[in-house]
Amino acid sequence: MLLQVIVSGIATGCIYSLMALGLTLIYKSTGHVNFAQGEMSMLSGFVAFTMFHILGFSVTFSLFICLLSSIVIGLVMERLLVRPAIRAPHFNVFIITLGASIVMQSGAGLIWTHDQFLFPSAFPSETFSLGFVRVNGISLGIIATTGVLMLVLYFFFKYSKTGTAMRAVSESQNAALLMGISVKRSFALTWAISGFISGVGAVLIAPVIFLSTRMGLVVINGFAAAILGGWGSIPGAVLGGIMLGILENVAPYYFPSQIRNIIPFAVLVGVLIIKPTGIMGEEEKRRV
Amino acid sequence: MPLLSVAKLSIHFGGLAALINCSFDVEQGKIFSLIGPNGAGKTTVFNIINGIYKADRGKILFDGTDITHLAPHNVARLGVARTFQNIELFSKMTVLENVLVGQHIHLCSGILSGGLLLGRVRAEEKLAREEANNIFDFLGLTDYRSHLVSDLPHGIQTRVEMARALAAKPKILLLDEPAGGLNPQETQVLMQLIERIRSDLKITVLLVEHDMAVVMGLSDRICVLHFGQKIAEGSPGEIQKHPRVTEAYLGETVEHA
Ligand SMILES: Nc1ncnc2c1ncn2[C@@H]1O[C@H](COP(=O)(O)OP(=O)(O)OP(=O)(O)O)[C@@H](O)[C@H]1O
Ligand SMILES: [Mg+2]
Repeated sequence: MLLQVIVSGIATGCIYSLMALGLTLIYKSTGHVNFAQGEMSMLSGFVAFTMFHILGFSVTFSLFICLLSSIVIGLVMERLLVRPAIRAPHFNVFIITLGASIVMQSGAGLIWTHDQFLFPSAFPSETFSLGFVRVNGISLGIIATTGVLMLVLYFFFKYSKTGTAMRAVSESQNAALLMGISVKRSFALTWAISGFISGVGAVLIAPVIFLSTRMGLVVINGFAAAILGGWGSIPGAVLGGIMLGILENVAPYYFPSQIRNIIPFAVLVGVLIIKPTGIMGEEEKRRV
Repeated sequence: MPLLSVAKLSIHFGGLAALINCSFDVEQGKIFSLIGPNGAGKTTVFNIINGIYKADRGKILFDGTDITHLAPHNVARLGVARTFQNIELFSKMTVLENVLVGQHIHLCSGILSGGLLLGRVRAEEKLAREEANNIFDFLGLTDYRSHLVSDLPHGIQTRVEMARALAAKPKILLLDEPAGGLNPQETQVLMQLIERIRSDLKITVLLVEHDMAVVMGLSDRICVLHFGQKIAEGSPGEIQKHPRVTEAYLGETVEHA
């Protein structure tokens, strides 16, 4: 039983990990904090919804367009909101994305209303037996998809020419420029990848929590996950998300319902007191 | 025609005129040095050539192309490589990865194929690694190739930065105080390396350096900057005798050489 709860906790956690990963990638390579990461997810979710519910396309095709649109949304955000402010302090960009998230949320409300809508899952909802555990197909699908995406990203950043160049940009923009790397292109690509991650998030999460304009709030859990894991650390973002998901799912079994929502937050604060940089966060070593 | 021609360059930062009407030509295959006291504007010249700073006035021709208004990454693509006064390596990467980033402009595989390890990419990558190995041999870095840059001592990092610059197969190499922070032995090795970069690799060198022994020992020609203005240009012999240069240096550094 507990094992089962842990598995569904991991599935929830994968969603948080994806949010945290999108945030971390943008932060690492551009130094910006994107508050609209959740709204990017929400918008691409509504794109899919429009495709299959209003325009009558097949679900598979709609989900494909959803992923495509998420990349476009990332690119548009970068081009329209972030690039013009490229010389502005990072805090300004944070406020810009915060503003964008509000506009996106109310804009989506105007078009699609603030109701909740059913969203089809890409995975079967039957339960499978895996040894001792009986696992829901949707949970399994979420975990597998997230796992594959993480692996692809890992190999991309570790071994591909473009990924290595992007890591170079995140370390020193000036040096990267002088290696012939276009920093602007690298920024755009980062937002495209983060957009895609938010799109995958939409496909995975909307069937579970319903599609609504409030879906973007999941970004808060993404922030919590990224901070728990260690702000700026990619493995930390993944780990933090999964830990948070497990805690959230396991807590109700051991604690009364009145306090179970506090547990993940309490753990977050606890970890930060013991290790202020988060679990995998690096200590800032400044030269004096 | 000179490989690099800097003509009447001026730039100011707020009220400070960092360069005033500065001109010099660097001939193909030469080692050309820019010297001058702290704050003379040497690094600023590099930054303008690289396209990091935009000059207020003036023109820069490189290999027949007007690069005055080019973006930094496009200047790099034409064959201008550089090292920094304060080493700017990708310190969370290995030595090999730094050099692979240095090769960036010569690797043509796109975003998608790069992730998918297609045949062509594999071949290209193999070639890139062979070339990286040659550079490591040349600079004596073979033992450090898989070390994280941040774990290496300063002297080695200087050479890693040169390796990364050479990986771009540049036509000209700009070195900003490469001997800074090196001990006398390391400085000796560095001088031999710079000489071999010119003679073996046929790369023109534009050198900024405070160590007068290095400058006088290596340079074919020297240009002296003082408060943003060129006060002298000539061979090492001419520069050592030049009255305004001795004056600018208060007579001390030049006599050492
Ligand atoms: N980005 C900048 N903003 C403001 N002032 C600058 C900037 N870059 C350079 N300067 C100023 O321009 C002048 C020339 O600086 P530069 O770095 O070119 O000197 P340098 O000859 O390289 O000196 P050093 O030998 O100390 O490296 C200095 O007074 C410096 O403070
Ligand atoms: Mg300098």
